[in-house]
Amino acid sequence: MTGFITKHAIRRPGRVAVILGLLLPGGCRRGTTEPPGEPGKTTITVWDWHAADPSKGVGLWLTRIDRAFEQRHPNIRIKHVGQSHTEYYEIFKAAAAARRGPDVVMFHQGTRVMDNRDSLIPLNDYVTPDFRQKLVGWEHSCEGYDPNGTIWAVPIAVQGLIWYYNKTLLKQAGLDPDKPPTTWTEFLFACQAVRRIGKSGIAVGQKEGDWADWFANSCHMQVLTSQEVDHLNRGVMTWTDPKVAVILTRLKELNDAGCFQKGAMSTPLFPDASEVFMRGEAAFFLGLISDVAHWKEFGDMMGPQTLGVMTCPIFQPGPDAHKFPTGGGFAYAVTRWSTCPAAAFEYIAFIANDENAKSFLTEVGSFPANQHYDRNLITDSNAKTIAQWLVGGRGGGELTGRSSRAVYDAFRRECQRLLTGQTDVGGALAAIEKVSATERASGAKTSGASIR
Amino acid sequence: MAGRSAEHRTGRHRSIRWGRVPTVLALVGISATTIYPLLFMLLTALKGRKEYLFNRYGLPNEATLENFYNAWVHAKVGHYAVNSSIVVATAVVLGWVVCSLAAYALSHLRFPGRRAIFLAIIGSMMIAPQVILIPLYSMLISLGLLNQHAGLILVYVTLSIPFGTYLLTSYFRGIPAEMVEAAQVDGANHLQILRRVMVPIARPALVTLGIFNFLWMWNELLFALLILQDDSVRTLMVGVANLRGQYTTNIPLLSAGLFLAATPVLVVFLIFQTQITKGMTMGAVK
Amino acid sequence: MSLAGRKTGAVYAYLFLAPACLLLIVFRVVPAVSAIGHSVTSWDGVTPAVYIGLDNFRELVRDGVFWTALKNNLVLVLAVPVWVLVSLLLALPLHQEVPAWKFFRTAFFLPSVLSPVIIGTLFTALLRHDGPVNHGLELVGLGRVARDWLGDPAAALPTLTMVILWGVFGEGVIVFLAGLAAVPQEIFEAARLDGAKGWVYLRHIVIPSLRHVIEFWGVNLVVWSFTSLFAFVYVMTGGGPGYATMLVEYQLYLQAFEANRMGYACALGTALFLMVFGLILLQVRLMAEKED
Repeated sequence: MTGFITKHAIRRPGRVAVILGLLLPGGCRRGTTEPPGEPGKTTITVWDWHAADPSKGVGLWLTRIDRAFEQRHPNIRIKHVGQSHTEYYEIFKAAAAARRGPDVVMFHQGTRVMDNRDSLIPLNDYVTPDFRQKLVGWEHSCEGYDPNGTIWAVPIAVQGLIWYYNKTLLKQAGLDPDKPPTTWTEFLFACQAVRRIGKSGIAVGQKEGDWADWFANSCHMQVLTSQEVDHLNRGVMTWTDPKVAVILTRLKELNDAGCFQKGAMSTPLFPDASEVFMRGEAAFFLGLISDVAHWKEFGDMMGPQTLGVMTCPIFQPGPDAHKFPTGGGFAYAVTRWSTCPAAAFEYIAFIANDENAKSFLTEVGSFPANQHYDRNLITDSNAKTIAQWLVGGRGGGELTGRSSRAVYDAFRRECQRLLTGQTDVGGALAAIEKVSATERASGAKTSGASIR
Repeated sequence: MAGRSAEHRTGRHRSIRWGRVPTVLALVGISATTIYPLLFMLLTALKGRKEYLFNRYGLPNEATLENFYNAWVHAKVGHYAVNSSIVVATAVVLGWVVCSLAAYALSHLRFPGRRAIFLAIIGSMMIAPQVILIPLYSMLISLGLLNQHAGLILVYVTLSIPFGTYLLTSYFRGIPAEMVEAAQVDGANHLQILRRVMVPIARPALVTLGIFNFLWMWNELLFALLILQDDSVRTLMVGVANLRGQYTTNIPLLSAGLFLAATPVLVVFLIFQTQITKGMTMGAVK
Repeated sequence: MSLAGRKTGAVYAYLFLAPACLLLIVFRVVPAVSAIGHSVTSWDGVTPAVYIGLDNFRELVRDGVFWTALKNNLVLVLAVPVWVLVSLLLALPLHQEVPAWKFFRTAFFLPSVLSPVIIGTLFTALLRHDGPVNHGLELVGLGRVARDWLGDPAAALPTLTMVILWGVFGEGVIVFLAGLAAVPQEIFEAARLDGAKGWVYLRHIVIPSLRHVIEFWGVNLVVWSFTSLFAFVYVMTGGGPGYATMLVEYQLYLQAFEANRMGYACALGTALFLMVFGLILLQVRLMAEKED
């Protein structure tokens, strides 16, 4: 409304006064930043990137949960703000700098939580032993990645990297669709066979450099122990170590052997590369276990009988070689400036409760962090397999999930350069190490690995 | 004004300098490159998600309007468009006022520090937005301007000052000092000179500036995201940006949303484009 | 002008400049000073900053990524004259009202209507190795030219430059049209009567008449290329493959919001600001000299 006044007041001498008037609060439409408005009611402001996404089940699931929570707590109102995923951390940073904004915030577990922990409150006092015992993945949002450390965020989803393959294509290529390749040699052979029938081996999306990073995470347990991974991320072990070099050499080998589809370097992992797989143009895809590019999405698009799951082909046998990486999915945390932390935690705990865990699985098709669900609810055969593997201890850790953002960025870019021939394995690793060393030398506050 | 005198209408003027046919052909070719991508976006918006998966580049076999509907409903295009209109219209008008005042001073008034101030205003353009993001956000909060249309309006006006002042100063400079002096002799004060002499003559520039500002302000994402977080005040581009999910991008839905978001600007341009090329009218100043 | 006249002129001047200057100071200068101040600190944007002297700048000088980004930015600056010339050349026939000139004017401006986000998304799809652009090339027998435009490190930056040109040339056409319209049309009349054609017309009639506008648009594009290409890079290449399309502005973003190194990002921003300012001063000086 003030806009109209401004337009007409322009030619009056009072225009300066009008401009000043705009500067005073209350000049224009007022939104809200803080709990207010309705007397006696507490408003919990929640930020995440799912609520705004209408094309996925998580958004709808959360909306339903909000209403259910409000029904149980009539004096609490949930204000759910969906932020754009691409600017998410920028926006949060600005809010953190001004110490205003949401009470409850969603994070990717791992580095993102650690980087922002100065804006969060420890949740140890709120988490009961019972609750703690129900959920898995605590270590991905605890201090020092130690599940017994300070808790910064509550895991809601479990995420992991798993290989999918197209049974129909394998059959057409003359391979056994129920016996996917387990060794590296078998895998290369399978890719070649698929190429002979005019399809690609692996659907790869290297535009943001994510695929190479996923590959490294997927196979690193064959060459590195979890302690070595910790040393690597803390700078005790260097990236130029020969063990790390093995991973990059294998990556390059895949490219040189022509296993990727054409144009992989400029294909985004989502949705393009996964769509290549869904269209049946490639036999293998390195995907997730929750959320997207996973058994449910592929099953819906391709038909569940066409889909199979496997873990990374083994080039170096070892005790952990058959494991697949599981990292944090998304988690919720409580901010330091929140005026209602207890209520905020209650909301988070509600999202993570048993009933919602069940609907998370059946409606959204993702693995909840809360392990108290009936495994018989899983009807999809691939999901069943994954669930069995998780229970059977086949889930392992990540490689770059705990690296600082700078190192993570350098890792992805150097792999891009490696695959486009701009550098070799040694050069790539040296560059990554340089970034890591510079960062440590500058004393930059990063999540790095377990510093505090 | 070019094209308006009888002589120009005969076309003799234009046939002299460039071979007509090759020129027109080249222009047609270039137009094709600007129109095709938009057509592509429209065609994509008409495809269902599954169809897009298998038929990315061809004509839609089963055209559907569901993406536009979903974009309108889920992206709340109608609601956000109103907010965008308020913010942008106010910012454009304020920008005219602020920049014309400054440009007049810089082009026709003599005062100490003129060159320095001019350089300073232009210089402020060179600060990358990313750097001032956080201090600016804190400042808006302390001024009580967060989640207020006024906050975003003031930021937009501020961002438009260097460009607008530079543009208008260039144009005002082209207006001969004699006109100003003639008006002064007539007894006009500076404000009246600005209003009655400068503004009418520089109308093409003002229209151009208005269109430019409308454009980038309408499409602006980052500050709108930061400053207007509450759903009731949020702007259109933000709503449309939220159509991009975490991993997946439903391209047809996104295309529909972006198409709807781009339509107002296109319409504005189509309506005002004739103003832009109106030339200076000689001897019409009173 | 009498002394009294000059005085009131000055008072009016400061009064007229007040709104603009006030807004700039409050919303641009103060935050910028705050940012520059933080360039000598180690800061993550949230917790208190720690003073570290010139360490950030020392690191900047040794930072290979920064130099690569700067090199890429300079390549873009070299493209600016091309961008200006294209717009100018296209504005001329429109000014002379070739058949359907109004349609062309609208068509050229269409890309400017689109936000960089959508331009980037569109072209990422169009430039795919199996996309319409390569299909089109094959159709006209130029199949050998076809490549993975955004995935090939050698082609990525030139491709980005062309896409940006596509997005921005229409605005330039409008600017030059307005400029041509504001020039007294007698000049063009006189030139026509004198029989001036083609390049002579361009060099001796058009360019001098539009001198200020050309300078304005050129300066604008140079500054713009240093400070506002973020969305393009972000959507199309992310600075890649590797660092092939890394720009200083984008590196700034990565350092500030990905690596949490706001202090270093501020140092990058300060360096960026100084460079651009120097470039502008240089350009303005060159233009002024040509005038004399």
